[in-house]
Amino acid sequence: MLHWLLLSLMSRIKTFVLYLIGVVLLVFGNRKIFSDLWNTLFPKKPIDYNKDIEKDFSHENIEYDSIQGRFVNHVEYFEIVRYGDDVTDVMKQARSTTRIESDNAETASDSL
Amino acid sequence: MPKQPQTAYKIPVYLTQERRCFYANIKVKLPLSCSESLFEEVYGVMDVVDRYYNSYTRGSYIDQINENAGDWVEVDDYCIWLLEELKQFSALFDGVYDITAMPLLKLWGFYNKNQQITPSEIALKDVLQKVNYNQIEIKGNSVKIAKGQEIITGSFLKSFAVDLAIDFLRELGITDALINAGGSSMSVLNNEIHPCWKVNIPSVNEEKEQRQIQLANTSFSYSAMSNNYKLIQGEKHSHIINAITGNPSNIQQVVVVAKSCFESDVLATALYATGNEYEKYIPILEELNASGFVVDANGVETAFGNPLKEEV
Repeated sequence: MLHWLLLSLMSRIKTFVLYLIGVVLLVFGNRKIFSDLWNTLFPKKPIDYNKDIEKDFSHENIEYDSIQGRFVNHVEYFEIVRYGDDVTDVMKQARSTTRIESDNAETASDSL
Repeated sequence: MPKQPQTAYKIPVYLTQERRCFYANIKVKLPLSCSESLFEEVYGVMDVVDRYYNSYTRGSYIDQINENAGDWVEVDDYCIWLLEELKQFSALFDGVYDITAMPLLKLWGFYNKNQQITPSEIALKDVLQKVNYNQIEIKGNSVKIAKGQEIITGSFLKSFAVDLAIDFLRELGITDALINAGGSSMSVLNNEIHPCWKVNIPSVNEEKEQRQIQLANTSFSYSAMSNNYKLIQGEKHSHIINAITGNPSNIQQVVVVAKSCFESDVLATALYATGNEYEKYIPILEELNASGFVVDANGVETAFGNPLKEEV
């Protein structure tokens, strides 16, 4: 009788311990659940990273010229004009040649 | 007692690039805060000038004028401006400086390494008939030179390109920069933090040390015979030729500081071309607010304009 009672008690304790482990794993096994819950309860306002970026650019108004059938920019601006598809030697020369110098004296020369 | 912090000396630091353009090494120095991509734009400005106006560039306006000598050629406003300005400078120097001097340079063998004789008087007389800036005709946007004439842009074009590049930088708000076109022409921008750039002027006399001058928001040009000459039978002949006599100048050195690089380059070349008569033309440079000095064939130095600021 005592033996049967002990076995029954052990079985219940085992069930209880396993149930507890299950609950602990359910709650703490998924860490994201709390941050998700927090974000759901207190949603963050989205940050607009582009909000102030326009301050760094100049704006030009482009008008549509219906007679010429094209957009016209009345603001004068500097434009590098090129002709042909070829790139001249001076523009091909690698950018990697940039170096750092102080304001050391230049030397006059007639040698080019 | 605690150690006192050492004084921090601020050394201006620049991004520097050097590229070949106009058959010269063009060096550009920009403040460290500038984007590296700005070099592309600065060299882009000079590249456009090289493409459109260089007499050595096939298809440029000047090349078209030379190729169609005797006929009218349509060019743009910049080309007209350049030619009109240059004609005025030629008139100021009584035709001694002349951009149609290309046939003279060819006669003296500057484009023929094998030529080892000085031109004969008859050949000189014949070629001099083709050298005359007055025969550059301008009507509206059309230009015509006489048959047999040829314009050479070597004495002014890279400096004109430097001016445009400097204007471009100035418009961007850059107040400290340098463009050095092969050592013969430079233009500088300065601000309160960096009040001047320094330039070494080689000495023509081995006994003397080189000089160092200071430039601030100005342009500088240098003409000499140290490296650029034609050696005929052991005698050096300068590449700058008096367009009236047809003979190379014997001046040793000319330094001109002026408001624009174009102006300083033309004035330095023109004064150099005058040879022994340089003193007669110095008042013209002074009237144009140019400063500098000349070292003549005998080594005599003559300064003009405001004294150049020199490093002691």
